Amino acid sequence: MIEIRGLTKRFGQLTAVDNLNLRVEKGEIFGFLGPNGAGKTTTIMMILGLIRPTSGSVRIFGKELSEDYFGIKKRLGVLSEYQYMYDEMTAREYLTFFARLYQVEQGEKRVQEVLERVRLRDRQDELVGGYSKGMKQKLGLARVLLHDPEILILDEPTSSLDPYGVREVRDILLEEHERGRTLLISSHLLSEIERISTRVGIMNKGRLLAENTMDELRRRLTQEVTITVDLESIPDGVVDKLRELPNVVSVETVPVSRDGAGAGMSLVIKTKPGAERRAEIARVLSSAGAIILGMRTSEMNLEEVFITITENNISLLAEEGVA
Amino acid sequence: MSATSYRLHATRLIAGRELRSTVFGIGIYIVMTIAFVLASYGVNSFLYNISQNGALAMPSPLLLPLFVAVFLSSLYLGLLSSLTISRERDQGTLEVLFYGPVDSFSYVMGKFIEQMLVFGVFILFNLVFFAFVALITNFGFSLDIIWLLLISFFVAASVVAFGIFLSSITKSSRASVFLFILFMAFFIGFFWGYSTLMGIPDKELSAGMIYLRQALDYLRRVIEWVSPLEYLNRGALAVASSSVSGFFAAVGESLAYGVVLLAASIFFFNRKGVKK
Repeated sequence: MIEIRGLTKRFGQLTAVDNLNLRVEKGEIFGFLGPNGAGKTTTIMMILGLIRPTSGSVRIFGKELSEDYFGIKKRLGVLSEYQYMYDEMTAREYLTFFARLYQVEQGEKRVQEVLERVRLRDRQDELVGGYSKGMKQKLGLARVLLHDPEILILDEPTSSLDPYGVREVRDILLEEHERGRTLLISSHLLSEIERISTRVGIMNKGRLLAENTMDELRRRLTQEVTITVDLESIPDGVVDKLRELPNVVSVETVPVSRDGAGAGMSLVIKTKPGAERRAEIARVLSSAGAIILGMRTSEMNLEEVFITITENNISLLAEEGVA
Repeated sequence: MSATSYRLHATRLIAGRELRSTVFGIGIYIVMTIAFVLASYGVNSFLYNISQNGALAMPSPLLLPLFVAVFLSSLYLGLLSSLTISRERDQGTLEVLFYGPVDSFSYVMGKFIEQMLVFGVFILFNLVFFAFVALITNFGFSLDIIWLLLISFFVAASVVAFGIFLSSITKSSRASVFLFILFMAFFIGFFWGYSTLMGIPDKELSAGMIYLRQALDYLRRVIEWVSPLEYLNRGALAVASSSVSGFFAAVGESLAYGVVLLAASIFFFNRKGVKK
């Protein structure tokens, strides 16, 4: 759907985007991440043709923007980080204007549908200038949805929303994904991206450092997997048996106190990343007569992946020979 | 749908939205009121002359008040035009428009057409106002008034194109308004200074002043093509002297000037982009 090749943008001495190669496939939710100034917004602006690249190309729906400018623009829905609106218009007038611009069939009906979807129908006759930041963000999303675009490009779509608003927007985005729409989301809310993205790309200092599924990124960055097992008690010799298991790096016993359930023990087992170890560990513990109260695996979350990659400027793509 | 159809559609919508915004604003009505008050003042002074002298030796006494009204209206629209692109770029709404099926041509043309529609309303009001004045003063509603209104439309187009051009090359609305006022003040000041200097006989001027007058004469040859107000001046003179060829020359020159400036506006707008 979106194919970026060798995209570079220089502003004088500053290279904002450096030889970026990226593909966003049809139907995926692509989380586009990076610290401030990483080059995400510049990339999005170049995708939209609003900033001219120094070199490289962007193809959307298999075409360069210059080949079918209006046709491509009509199939995109774009939400920027800041909501710039005509404050002297009501929400209904604002959306009606854009419905006409995009030549939406049955525009008035569609305007009411999207207002309902973002829960602003009751406020549609109020001036946009009087809207709160969160309401403007929802109205911006309504504008994006108005013409039923095939690709949604969203820059910080939940930044001004309260938790209810975040959930509403997340649900809408997931609905769009279920309808086969492609989403490119740039956000600092890593937990949100982790929840909904099918793939993520991480940029830093103008370069794309990683582009993969969350599971694959975790796998690539994880040195050790920590499995914590809560036991009623630790049978004799079980720790040694666990240590003998292949790929187990270390086993520690940790006393824990459980509310109303007296004291117990936990085993903190560190293994090499890769294959699933929990079944094997459970078998060893059961055969030794241990009563397992709980078992959990600690994995790197997106925040840890993000910080690991950007702080150390690690290029996973270079390892793959992509960059 | 072809690119041309998309362009025309976007142009029409942008012009419509802007027109609505201007019509519901107060500025246009203030300017029209000021224009009519000034025109009435001019008419009144002619009437006073007649009452004092018993006669007024002018072929078409309403032309000058109409010229003042048209001049003021054109300046106002030029000022509005100088704000168009830069203000919307400042506010960020320009960027949002360009997320969709809008390009620089449709945007600039939308802004231009909106201003011309507003000027069309000005012309209509002027027509009604001067027809009424002609009736109550018995000055007569001559064809010259129609010709001047007609040429004023083309001249206003060049003033508006000049405003849009300034708006396309500046970074902020403040800068574009400042530039517009600066240029207009210079053009008007130059015109006034040049006319004054030309009216003084050579023998009353020092050698330095004669050199200055010569330099200003060279400068005038440039300014008469650069300043949109000069086209209005030429058109009004053509109407006042009933020169048909002068009239059509002024129309053609205004049109060419407007087209060149609009094309330049689109070029610079493309180069500067839509980002704040």
